[in-house]
Amino acid sequence: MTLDSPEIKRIIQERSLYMCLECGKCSASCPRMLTGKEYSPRLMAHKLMVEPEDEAFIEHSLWECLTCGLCEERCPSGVEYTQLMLELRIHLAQAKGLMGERAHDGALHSWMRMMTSPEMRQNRLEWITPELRVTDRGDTAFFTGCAPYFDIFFAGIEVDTLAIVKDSIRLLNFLDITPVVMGEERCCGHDLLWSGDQENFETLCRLNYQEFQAAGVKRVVVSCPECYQVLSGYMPQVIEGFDLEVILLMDLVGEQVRQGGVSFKPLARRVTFQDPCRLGRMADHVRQPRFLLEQIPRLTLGEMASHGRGSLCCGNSAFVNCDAYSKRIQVTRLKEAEATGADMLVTACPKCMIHLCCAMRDPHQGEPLAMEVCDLISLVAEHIQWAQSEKPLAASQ
Amino acid sequence: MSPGKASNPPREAVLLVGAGYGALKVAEDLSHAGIPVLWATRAAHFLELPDSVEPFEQWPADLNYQFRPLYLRVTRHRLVTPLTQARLESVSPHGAGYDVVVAQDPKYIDYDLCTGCGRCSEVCPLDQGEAPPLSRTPGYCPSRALQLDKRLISPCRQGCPLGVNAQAYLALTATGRFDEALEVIKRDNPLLGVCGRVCHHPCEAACRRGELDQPLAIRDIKRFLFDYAAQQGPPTLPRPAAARRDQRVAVVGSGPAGLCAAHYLNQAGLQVTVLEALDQAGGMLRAGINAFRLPRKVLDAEIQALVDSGVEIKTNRPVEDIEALLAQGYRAVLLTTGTHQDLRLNIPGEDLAGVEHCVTFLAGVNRSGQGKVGPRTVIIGGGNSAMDAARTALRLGAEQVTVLAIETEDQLPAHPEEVRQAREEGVVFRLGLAPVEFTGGPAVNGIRLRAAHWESSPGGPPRLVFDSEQIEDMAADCVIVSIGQRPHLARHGLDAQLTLGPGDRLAADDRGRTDRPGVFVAGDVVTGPSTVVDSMAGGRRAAYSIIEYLGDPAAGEHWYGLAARGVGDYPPIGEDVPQQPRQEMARRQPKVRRRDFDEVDLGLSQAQAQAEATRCLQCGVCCECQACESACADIGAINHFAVGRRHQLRAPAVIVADRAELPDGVELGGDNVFWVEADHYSADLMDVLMAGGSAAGQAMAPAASLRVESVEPAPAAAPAGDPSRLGFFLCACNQTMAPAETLQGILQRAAAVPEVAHCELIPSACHPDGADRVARALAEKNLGRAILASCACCPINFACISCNDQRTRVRRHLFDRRGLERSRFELCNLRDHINDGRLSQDQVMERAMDLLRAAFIRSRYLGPLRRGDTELGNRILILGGSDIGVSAARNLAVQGFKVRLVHRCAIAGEELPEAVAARPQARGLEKSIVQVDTPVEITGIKGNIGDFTVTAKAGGRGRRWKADLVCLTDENLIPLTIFAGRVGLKKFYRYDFAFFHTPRMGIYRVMPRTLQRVDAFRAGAALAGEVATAAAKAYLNDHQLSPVVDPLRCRGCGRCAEICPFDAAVLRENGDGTYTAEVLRHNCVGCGGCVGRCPVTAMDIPFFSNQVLMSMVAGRLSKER
Repeated sequence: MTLDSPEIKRIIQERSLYMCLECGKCSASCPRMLTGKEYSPRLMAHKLMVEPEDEAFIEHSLWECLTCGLCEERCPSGVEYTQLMLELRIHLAQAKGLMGERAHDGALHSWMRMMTSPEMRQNRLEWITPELRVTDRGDTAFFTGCAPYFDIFFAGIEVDTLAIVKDSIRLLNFLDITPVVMGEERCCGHDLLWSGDQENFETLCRLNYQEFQAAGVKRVVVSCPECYQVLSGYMPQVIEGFDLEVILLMDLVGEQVRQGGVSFKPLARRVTFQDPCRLGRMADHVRQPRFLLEQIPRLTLGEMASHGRGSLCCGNSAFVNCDAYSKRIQVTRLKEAEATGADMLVTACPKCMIHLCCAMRDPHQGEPLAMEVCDLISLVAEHIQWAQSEKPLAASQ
Repeated sequence: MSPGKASNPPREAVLLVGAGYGALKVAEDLSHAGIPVLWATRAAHFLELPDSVEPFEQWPADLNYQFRPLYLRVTRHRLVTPLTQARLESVSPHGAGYDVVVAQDPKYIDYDLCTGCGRCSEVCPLDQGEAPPLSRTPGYCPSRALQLDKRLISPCRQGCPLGVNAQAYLALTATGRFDEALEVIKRDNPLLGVCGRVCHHPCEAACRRGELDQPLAIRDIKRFLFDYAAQQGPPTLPRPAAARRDQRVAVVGSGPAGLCAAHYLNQAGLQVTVLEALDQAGGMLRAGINAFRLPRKVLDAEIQALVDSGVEIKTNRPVEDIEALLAQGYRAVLLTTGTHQDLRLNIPGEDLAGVEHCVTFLAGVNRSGQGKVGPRTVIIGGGNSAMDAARTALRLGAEQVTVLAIETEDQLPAHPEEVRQAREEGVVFRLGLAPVEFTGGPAVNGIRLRAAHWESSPGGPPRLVFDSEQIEDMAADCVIVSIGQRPHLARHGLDAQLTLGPGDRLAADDRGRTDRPGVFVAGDVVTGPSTVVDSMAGGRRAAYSIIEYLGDPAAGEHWYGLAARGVGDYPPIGEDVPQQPRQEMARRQPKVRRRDFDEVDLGLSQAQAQAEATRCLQCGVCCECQACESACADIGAINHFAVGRRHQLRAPAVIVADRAELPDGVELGGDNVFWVEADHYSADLMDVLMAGGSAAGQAMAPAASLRVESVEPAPAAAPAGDPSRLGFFLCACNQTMAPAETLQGILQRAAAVPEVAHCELIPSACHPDGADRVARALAEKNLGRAILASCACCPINFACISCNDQRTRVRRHLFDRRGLERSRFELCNLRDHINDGRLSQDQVMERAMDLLRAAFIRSRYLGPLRRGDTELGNRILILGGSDIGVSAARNLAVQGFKVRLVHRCAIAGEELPEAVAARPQARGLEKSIVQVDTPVEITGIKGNIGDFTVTAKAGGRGRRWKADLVCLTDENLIPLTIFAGRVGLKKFYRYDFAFFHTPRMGIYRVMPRTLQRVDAFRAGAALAGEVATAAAKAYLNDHQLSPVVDPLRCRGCGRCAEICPFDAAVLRENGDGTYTAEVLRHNCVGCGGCVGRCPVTAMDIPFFSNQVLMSMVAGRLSKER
C-alpha cells in the first residue's frame, strides 16, 4: 500500500493541507524541530502532498508530532495539522498496524485496552476518603480520569495526581455539589485515540456513556483537559444522541467567583502557569486559569516566555515517542519557568505535571530544575472560602 | 555432603573447623582471596549452628534462606574442599603451621550425583518409621541431595555367622514386601528353608529387643517367608552369568558347608561340581536331622534350587584321591566331609547288642526309615543329636525314653527349645550321671551309673569328676550313645593326604586354606561338630578363599567388612516403645506328634509374621536392604559399601568456628590459630560475620604463600552449530519428573514444533551423563540452540536465592565442563511446576505445555550474555591511619600487596578531627608500606575500581595517587563514599551485609559501629581480608546480565541513574543538550532495576530482552501452540 490512497487524499483534503503556502512557520514553531529532533511539519506536509512514496519518512514522522497544535496556531492557511495527524494515525494504525514507540513499554496503553473489557471490574472508588461527599446517582457527575492509576504508576517520581481529583471533589462539595463518582468509570481513551487506536477508544466511550446513563447523569464535570477534550469533543462523535453537558471544573468555580460570595485565603508566592495544549489552544481556556489565580491575594503570576495560546508543550502527549528531545523541551520549559522568578509551577493537566516532574529529577541538572509543582485545582481548593454570610448549609457542616 | 573435590583434597590449605555463618564467611573470604581452604565439620550441613550460638531472635526464622547463594558459591568454589560429617582427628604443630588429620565419615550417597528425586525414600521400608534412614538437610540448605543414616550393623546381623541381614528382611516383612525380604535373605543364605527350621538362631540371642522384653522370632519369620514363597512355587536362586566357567572347582561333601560353598562359587561364575559319597545330597542335614524338624521336601527343594542355579551335584561319588581330582582339571578342591564317625564311651559293654551310636542310628532312620529301639531306651548325651535320637526313639515305639547326661540342666548343650519339646513328648531326663558300664549279654539290659560332673580345666577340655563311689543300676533294652562325632577321613583314605589336627580334624587357617595350594576345607571336618549355620559360614569363607585363589581378591570384601560398616551407635530404645511378647508358632500336640515323623512346628501366620517383624527396633537405622540402590540404579548415587576416608593436610593456619568440634583434650596453641568468636557472639548475625571476616583476614597473612593466582582454565568451546536447528531435551529426573507416558507426550508435542531438529529424554540433567548426552546431540545433530526442560531455571553463571545444588550442577556440567555456550540454552524449570502429586495427568500436561510454549518463544530470542572483565592491580590506598587502618595496611603488606598509608586525612574544606591530628605516627611498620604522615586534604576520588585517582592537597602542594582499591578507615572520610541527592531505591539499599563495601565499587570504609563488634586489630584484619578478595582476583567479571542502552530511544531522564544502588547507570552529555545513559561495566550487578524503570524502553538485556517478555506474554495469551 502506498500513501497516496484515496482515503489519505481525502484526509489531506478535509484538513486543508492543500492550502499550505509552504511558508515554514509550522517548522519554525515546532518544539520538536527546535530542540534538534529530525522532524519537520513543513517537510511532512510536503511529503504527504507530493512525495507519498516516501513511506519511511511519513510513517516515522507521523509519531514524532507532539499534537501540541502550536504549528496550527501559527499557520496562516488554516491547515488543521493536529487533526490531520490524528486521522492519519488512526488510518495507518488500522491499515498497517503502526503504533510508534510507546513510552513505558506500552503499559498505559495496555491498561486502557484492558478496560475495554465489559467484564473487568474497575473498583474505582477505593481512594474516596470519608470526608469526600459523593453519590452513585444524580444529575451531576465528576469524571475522575486516570489520576488514581498515575498515582501508582508514577510514584517513583513522586507525583501525587490523586490529590488533584480529591481536591476536585472537595471543591465540588464546597460548591454544595455532591457529584456522582462512578465505580465502573473507565479511562476516557484520550491516549488510545491520539495513538491511533480508534476501535478501542470508541469502546471506552460507549462503556463510559452507559455508566453515565445508568447513574442518571445529565451534567459531567471534569478537571483534566484531556478528559474534557474527549468528553466534549470526541465522545459526541461516537455516541449517537449524546446529550450530556460537559463542563470544566475551573469554569464552574470561575462562575461562582464571578457571582460573588467566595473569597480566597492569601498566598504570598510568585507562581507561573503551564498552559496545557488541550486547555489553552484547543479549548481556548487561556483566561480562566489566570482569572482564578488572580483571585488569590498576594499571589503574583510570572508568565513564561511562551504562554497562553503560544505556550510550549510539556514534551509529550499520549505516551508515544518520548525521547531525549522530549526531555530537552521539558528542560527548556523548566528553565523558562525558572526565569520567571517563580518558586511554584502551577499546572492544569496531570500529564503536564508528570512530564515536567520527570524532567526535574535530573541527576545532572540537579537542583536548578527542581521547583514545587501544584495543580491549579489543588491551589484553588486550598485557598477558596465562603464569605461568612454566603456559606451554604452543607458546606458549614 | 562433600562435592567432588573431597575425593582429591589439597595437601596444603587453611583448615577451617566447624559450621555456621561465621565459618561460611571465613570460607568465602579465603577462597575469594585465592587461598585454598579445607572446611571440615561434624555437622550434616554447613549452616548447622554451633551449640554455643543462640538463635538470632531479631532475625526472621527464614534468615538461613538468604544464605543459599553464598552457600552454593562457597561450597562449589574450586579452592574450597567442604567436608561434612568429618571430624578433626589430630592437630600437631609443624613449623609455624600444623599437621592435621581429618577423618571423613563414609558418604553412602554421592552428593555430586544425587538428583534429589527422592525415589530412594519412596522405596525405603523404613520411610514411615520414627527415624527414617533417608533424610534431607533443612530446606534452606541449597541441595536436595539425601543423606543416609547408617549406624553400626545391627546386632542380629553381626550375630549371624553368615551375616544374614535380619534387620532388612524384618523391615521388609513388616511392610508386607515378602518377595524382597526373601531376596535379602538369599544374598547371604542359599538354604533359608533349612535355616528357617533348624538354625540355632544366634541372631535372636543378640537381639536388643531382649533387653526390653523378648528377642524377635527371627528364625520363625524366615521360615514364614520360605513357606510363603513355597506356596507360589519351588524356591529359586539366581543363575549367575557364566563368566568364569572355564575354571572348575570340586566340592567334596554336600552338607551345609559344601552346599553353601558351592553356591558362592557358582555365584562367582565358577563351574562347581559337588561330589557326594552317599546316594543323596545333604550330608548331615539329611543324615543327622529328623524329618519332624526338617521335612525332606524342604531340603530336597533347596538342593534342587542349587542345582537349577548351576551347581552340579554328583552322588555316589566317594573321593579317595585329591591329587587325582586336581589332575582331572579342577582348579581347586574343597573338602567338607563332615564328622560321620561316632565317638565312643570306651566303657565295658559298649559292643553289646542293643547299644547303638547316634549318627549310625539317626542316619539309618533318616535315610532308610529303619531303626529298632527297645521299650526302655536310654540316650546317653545332652546335645541336640541326643534330643533328636530321643525323640526319634519315641516315634519308633519306645515306651520310655530316658536321656542320661553328666551336665546339669543349665549346662545341657542342646538348645533349650529342643529340650522342652523332648520333655513335652515324654522324654525323661536324668542328669548328673555318667555311665560306667553296660550290663547284659548278648543284649544289653542295663547301665551302671555314677554321679558325676564336668570340671573345667584351664587350657584343656573339661574333666570328668565322679562325685561318689555309689553305683546305680538302671534297666535298659536299648542304648543310643550320643556323645559326639569326629571326621571319618580314614574311610576313604583321605587322612594320609592332608595334615590332620586334633581329633582327626583337618588343619586349616580361619579361612579354610590348607597348607596345600588349591586345597581348601570347611565345615565340621575342620571345626568338629557344630551348627548348620556355622558350617555354612565356614563353607562361604572357604568359597571366598577359593575365588581369591583363582584371581579375584575382592570377592568377600563386603562380607568380611560387615562389622566395620556404619557410623555411630544404635539409637537408644525409646521409652515409649511398649513391651510386647513375641509371637509363637502353632505346634502339634505332643501326644499326637510323637506318633509319626511329620513336622512338629506349624509356622507363623502372615499376620503373626508381620506383627512380629514390626517389633523390630531397627537398630542400625538403615537396614541396608538396598532397595534404594535399585531405585537409584540409573544415577548410581547410592553406595552402601562406601568407606570413610582420612585426609592429611599441612595447614599454615587453623581457624576454629566451633570449639566443640576440636578433638577431646586438644589444646590448640601458636600464632596461627584463629577463632571465629566475637565478644557478643550471639547478639547479632553481624558480629558473627565480622568475627569470621577477621579470622579469615588474619589467616591470610600466614597463608599468603598458598595463594593461587591462576585463573580456572576454561574448557575448549564446543562448536556453535546451526542456530536454525533447535534441540529439545527433557530431564526425567530419574523417572520422577512425570509419568513416562506424560513425558512421551511432551516429547511428541515438542517434536512437532517445526524448528525442533532433535528431541531427547535425558535420565537426569544434573548427572554428568545428562550433560554428556546433550553435548553429544548438539555436536552430532549440528544444533545451534537448545531447550533443556529440567529443574534448572536459567543458564546464567549466578546463584540466586532459589538456586540449588542440582540446578548449579546442570550448568556446571553443560557449560563449565563441556564448554557449551550458555546463551544458546533456554533452561526451563519444569520440575517444580509439574512434579506435584496433587495434579492429574491432564493438568500436568497442560502446565508443561504452558511453560514449554514460553520456552519455545524464548528460545527464538536468545541473545548474547555480556562478557568482559576489568583488570585490577594490587595498589591499595589506605586513607586514615587509625588502628584499623594500620592493622589492615600491615596485613595487606604481609600478603604482598602494594600499600600506601595516608595517616591524617580530612575532606577538603573540613577540619582535621582532633583525635586524628593528635595521632602519633605508627612505628615499626613493614618497610614495603609507603607512608604519608603530613596532614592531607582529600579533594576528590575519581575513576572506578581498578583505576582510581585520589587528588589531595598536602602542605600546600597538590598530590595525585593512583590506586586500584581505596580504603577509608577514619569516620570523617565516610561522606566521600556517598553521592549527594540519593533518591529512589538508593535510599533503601543497605550495605550492612557487605562489610566495608560502599556504594562505590572498589572503595571500602569502616563504619564506627565496627569497633563495637571487634577490636581494632581484628577489624583491620577483616578489612584486609575483604580488600584481598578483590585485589587477589586481579580481574572483575562483567555481570552477564548487564543491560545495554539504545541511544536512539534513551530519553536521558536519569531514572536509571536514580534507581541504581551501585551507581552503575550514569548519564553522558551528547553535546547538544541531550543526555544518554551508560552502564558502567564494573559497577553493574545485573539486577535489571534500571531496565524496569526506564520509561522509554531504551535499556535492555539482550539475553532476556523486553521483546522476549512481550512475546512470551503474547504467546501465553494467544495460545498459538
